[in-house]
Amino acid sequence: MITVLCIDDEADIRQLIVEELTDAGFATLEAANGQEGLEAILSYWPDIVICDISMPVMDGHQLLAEIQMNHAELFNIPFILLSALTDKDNVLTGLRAGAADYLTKPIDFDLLLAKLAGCIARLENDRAVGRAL
Amino acid sequence: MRREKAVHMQQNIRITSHVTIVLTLLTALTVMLLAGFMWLASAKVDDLALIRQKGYVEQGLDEQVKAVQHELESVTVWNDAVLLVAKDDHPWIADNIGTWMHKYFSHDRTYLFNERDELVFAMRDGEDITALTFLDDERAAAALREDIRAMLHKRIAVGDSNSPVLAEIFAEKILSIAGRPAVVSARPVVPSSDQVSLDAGKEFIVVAVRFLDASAVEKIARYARIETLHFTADAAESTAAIPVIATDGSTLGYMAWQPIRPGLMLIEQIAPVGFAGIIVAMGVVIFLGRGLRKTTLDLSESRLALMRHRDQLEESVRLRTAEIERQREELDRLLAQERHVNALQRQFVTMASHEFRTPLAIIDAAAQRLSRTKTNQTPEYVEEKSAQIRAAVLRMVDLMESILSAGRLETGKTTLKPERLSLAEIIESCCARQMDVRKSHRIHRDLSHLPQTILADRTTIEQVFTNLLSNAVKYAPQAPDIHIRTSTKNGMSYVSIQDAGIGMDAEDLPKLFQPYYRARSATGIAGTGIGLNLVKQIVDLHGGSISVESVLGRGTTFTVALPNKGPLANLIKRAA
Repeated sequence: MITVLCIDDEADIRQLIVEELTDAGFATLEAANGQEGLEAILSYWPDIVICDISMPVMDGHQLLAEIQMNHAELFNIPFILLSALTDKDNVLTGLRAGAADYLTKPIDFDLLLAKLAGCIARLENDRAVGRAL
Repeated sequence: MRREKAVHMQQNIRITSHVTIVLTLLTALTVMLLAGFMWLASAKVDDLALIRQKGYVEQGLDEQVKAVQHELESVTVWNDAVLLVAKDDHPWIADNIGTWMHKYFSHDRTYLFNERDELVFAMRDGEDITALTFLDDERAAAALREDIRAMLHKRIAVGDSNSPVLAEIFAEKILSIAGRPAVVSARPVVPSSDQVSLDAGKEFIVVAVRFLDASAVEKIARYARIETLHFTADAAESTAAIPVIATDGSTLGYMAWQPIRPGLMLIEQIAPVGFAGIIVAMGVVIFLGRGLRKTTLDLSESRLALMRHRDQLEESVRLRTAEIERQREELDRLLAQERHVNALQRQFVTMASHEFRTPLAIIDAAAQRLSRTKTNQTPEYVEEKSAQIRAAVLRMVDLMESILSAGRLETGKTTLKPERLSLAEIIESCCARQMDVRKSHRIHRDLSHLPQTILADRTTIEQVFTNLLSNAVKYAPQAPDIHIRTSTKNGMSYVSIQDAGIGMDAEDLPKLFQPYYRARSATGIAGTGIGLNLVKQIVDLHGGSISVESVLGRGTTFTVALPNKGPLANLIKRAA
């Protein structure tokens, strides 16, 4: 079963996403900010991370930068940034920092699920290649 | 600076004065030199004139001496006539020799001796004195008769035809007669014209005397053109004089006169004009000096005025430059402020967009969930989703309301409607709503120290506490305890709201109530930056105040003070 970590400071949004993902057959983890998210990643090693940008304590960009600099072993975990910030600067910053994709709020669950499916396909391909090697 | 200029001017004037003095002295010196030259020249002229005068007087004297002889000769050429008459008529000789010689030649005395040396005729000062006594002094004159006789005898003895003819024989002397200088001249008078040399020793002899101190002086004076000429025994030193020397070498007296000094006379004549000229020259020099001084004074004044003007100009330029600089700085400041406001507004737009999108996302997601889970929908599930949607809508309404309120406050369109209300009641309802939305936090409140009612505008006061409470919750995500404390003092109600949240840096505190400003510690936390500005404006409109204390990482306390008797009348008016 694929485990998805959902990091968002808005409890309602977090809950709605988790509900949708659960219905779609994913195992889910929740975190309220970047700091909690990092701890969850290190503890549970999720397959995919869905992450908000504007959050207290540690925001999405900071979390990505932290992983890029200090936790290189986590870098192959796909990050899908999901934010209410729609400006190009934030999109570019996120993608350059290694995010697999950038989705904007309001959330289109079909789109989100499609993105997750794409990520999973790539992951499974990678794992198959890894086993073959 | 100004004193230097005064000193400079004084120096100028002093120099000008010196120039005037030097010019005056030079003029005086020139005049004195000219006068000296003139004096020397006149003395020289006078000396030459005196020499010439002496020459004339000497010549005149000589003429007078010689004239006697010539005159006697001119009388005695009438030899025949004289002698003929002399034989027959004695008085006629007297008339011819005596009277004529006296009248026409001014001979003072005349004596005629015959061949026996007997005095046949004598005249003294025009008087016939033949019969009178022959004076002693007259004997001196008569002595010349002896000289003539000696010469005649000598001629006869020689018998030489080359010897002088009778007409050439004469004797002449200058001597003193009766104490007076006189020319005495003697000639032989032949008895017959045809017996010139036959009757030697038979000649008559005539002796003539002319005093040099009488009419002769006048003649010399006329000749020499010296009016003051006179004879004097002793010549005074001050007067010019030539001596009258007797034949025997003794000095008989002097021909003296007041010397004529043409140079001195010239100086005397031109002296007044000269003095006048000097005075005029000095006057001109002094006048010019005064003019120069005045001009210098004027120039100095002008230059001082010019310097003052220049100073004033410099001063005004400096002031204008300072003013322009000040205006430039003011413009720079305003521009910087404008840029800052623009940046804050851009930030606000981004923030507002984010803030609206978040509740929209909740609404949208909840709606999607409701539509996607048709199969196993329970009434509780639908209830939960609709609650989420409503909360999100409420959040959007609050957000919109606060933005609109801020806009209204900014444009001054807010009207307070003060009414009697219970502050405790309002705070209670705000807390209830907040805890309904955010179940994670607990609000500990002590509202017992508030008055029963205060006079305030309900809507805006609700906004104040909603904002402050939502802030306390929002900025203290890890600290669930919020404390509200109240007190009343001096007619004011105090409400302080304390959280133990992230707090903020002391540097952020002064700017905290500016529109769109957000403390740096608020990064990543949803917010528009208009809430606290709105709160402060509302509290200010009520005549109250708001203060903040905060320690980074330890929490923040806001304290609102509101007047119990409501906003002051003028504040209501201002808001209206």
